[in-house]
Amino acid sequence: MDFLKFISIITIAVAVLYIGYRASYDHFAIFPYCSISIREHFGDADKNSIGKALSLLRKSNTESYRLACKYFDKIEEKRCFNADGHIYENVFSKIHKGCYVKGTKRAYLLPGETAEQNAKTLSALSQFARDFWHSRQ
Amino acid sequence: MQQNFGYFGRQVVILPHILRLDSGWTVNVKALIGDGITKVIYPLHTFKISNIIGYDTMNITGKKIVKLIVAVSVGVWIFSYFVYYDFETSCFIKLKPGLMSFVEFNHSNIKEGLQALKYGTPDVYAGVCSNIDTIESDYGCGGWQGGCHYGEEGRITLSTTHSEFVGWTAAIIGHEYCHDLQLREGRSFSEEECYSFDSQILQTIVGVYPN
Repeated sequence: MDFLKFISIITIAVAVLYIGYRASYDHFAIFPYCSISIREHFGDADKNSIGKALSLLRKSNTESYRLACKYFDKIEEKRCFNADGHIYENVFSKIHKGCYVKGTKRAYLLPGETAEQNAKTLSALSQFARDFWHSRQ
Repeated sequence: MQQNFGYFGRQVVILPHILRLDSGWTVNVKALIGDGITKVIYPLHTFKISNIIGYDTMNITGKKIVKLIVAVSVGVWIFSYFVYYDFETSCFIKLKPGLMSFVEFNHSNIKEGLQALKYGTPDVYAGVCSNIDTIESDYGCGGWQGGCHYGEEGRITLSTTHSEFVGWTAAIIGHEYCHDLQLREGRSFSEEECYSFDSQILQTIVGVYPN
């Protein structure tokens, strides 16, 4: 088989598998383009609450959705903390709905929240990320 | 010959390009262009497609270049697992995986932690880049999801996982860097100082909602 043809077939096959995988397990949309990995907390009652939150944003708050797609490439369900528990003992008792780590493209959401709450949190975090990157320009 | 091929237009032929015909003849497209034909498409609409049994899109040199690009790309991809590099700030740190960390593949988390330091706490990042040569990664150093400094200047160990909260990974890098500074400056090992140091990093780089 022609080498170029072989490379082309492999490339197309990988692209199709990749898009299929992303569309199944992550958030992937072409118009407007958006590709965000989703890592949900194991055992949540509300399955795919992050994916639902992104779909909700896409319908109801396109500006925040656009920002989320621009500034995040991964959204995880994980508890956030912004101090060391060795110094501030009560740091883990504070419940944050989510957080953004400066300089990264990751957003974190509190596990077990509803899609509506996650949409609201993501909206706030995406604006936080935008403000951070704008402040650096 | 010009009448046979004509001017069709979807694909511009990249030279050199040879069309092979079932008659056994080969047609040099470059020569055709020399005859005044500037565009030839494949498949050819008016030229009998059954007459073409194949065509070479690349010469041997072209194939070698494609293979070289593929090999270099794979090489860079593998190499990047073992090195953190930031050309913008000339920061190069070796990432040395322990036996178990090959299972975890957590270097992407470490790299993101360094990026968080770069943008969130540039001073700490500059200090890490100029003082830390090697970051080792492995399971269970100093407990889970922590770090260690074994008293060797410029070398720290992290035991964060691939799915670790990246703010915490950045804080641990800062914590171990703090111990490295203590060693370099001849001061005694103080955990309190370094807990305070990593806590400041967390407060600076992590933006929580609601505040």
